[in-house]
Amino acid sequence: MAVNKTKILVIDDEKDLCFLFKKILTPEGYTVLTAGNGYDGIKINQKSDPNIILLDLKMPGINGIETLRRIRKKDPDVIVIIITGYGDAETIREAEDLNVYEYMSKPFNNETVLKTIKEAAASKDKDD
Amino acid sequence: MTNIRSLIYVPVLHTQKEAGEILLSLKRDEAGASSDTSLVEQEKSVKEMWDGIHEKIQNTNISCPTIRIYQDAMPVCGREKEIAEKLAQKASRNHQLILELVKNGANIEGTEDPDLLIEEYGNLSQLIGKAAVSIQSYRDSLNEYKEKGALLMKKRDAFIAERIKSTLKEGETPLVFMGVRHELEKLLQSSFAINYIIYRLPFKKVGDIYNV
Repeated sequence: MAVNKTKILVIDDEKDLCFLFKKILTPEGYTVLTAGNGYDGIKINQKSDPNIILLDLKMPGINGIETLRRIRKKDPDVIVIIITGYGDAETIREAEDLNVYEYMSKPFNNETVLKTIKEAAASKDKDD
Repeated sequence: MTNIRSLIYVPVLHTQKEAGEILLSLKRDEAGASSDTSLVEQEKSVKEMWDGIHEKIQNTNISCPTIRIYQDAMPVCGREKEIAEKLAQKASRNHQLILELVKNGANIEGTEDPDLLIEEYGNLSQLIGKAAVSIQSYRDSLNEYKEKGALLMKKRDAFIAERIKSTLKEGETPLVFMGVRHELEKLLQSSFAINYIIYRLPFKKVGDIYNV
């Protein structure tokens, strides 16, 4: 998956964080879409078919795990990276069962996130 | 009002090599190390995970002498420190961190029932034996292993929960390193306020024995 063709959907209710992801990923050649809650995230995923989703867990409305459950029904293969400030053992197991690529905690290091996204995109290339 | 004690819970992933060595140490056997690139990658990812956990534990500023460590697959045997030392020498970052904490005054506690660990080792060996026959044979045996494993995991978790409750001393904080498939927190949350330390869990890079 060439970087300039990689579309990333960020689903997070923190506007500042969506902005930060745009700021760090766009110069790297990624196309970044954002959604402020799970419902919008599901809609944008269906409409825009991103390659990678960065998903928060604690959001108003439906939480990240429920959002992912609904996404997986129609899209079993999209790469999902969880980025959360509120992890616990149960959501980790649920995330693993829902075929998550990686589970990261906030606050995060920009370089680590960027590296993980690059690796995830490359792993998709290998699978294809 | 009851004063509920705090517990630090660190969900972790083990490399396949590491998981094998933990079990094998109990059998005083040698683990078959592989130079496979994917294993090297796994170990790199797991090392990064442990570096992050190390930093986060340091940031808690908790005093080491008040910590009692409980470790996934560490048998109750009286040789816990020796086992940690052996695994640390084999480059297990998990056990290197434990030793560092112990050096600074933390206590390491035997955590698991040795008989249950040997049972797990037996089930795992049987499964790995199937892989030596063929991948198909391995896949055919996976469901049986998963079913046996789920029952065994419940027994292991029940033992660990009781172990924590019975060995923790006044004024101590339990620091629990546990594989992500354990459901130990369910048995502890009524007795402890659980604080999680999570850095990153690279599921896909590390993989598991189910994804073959």
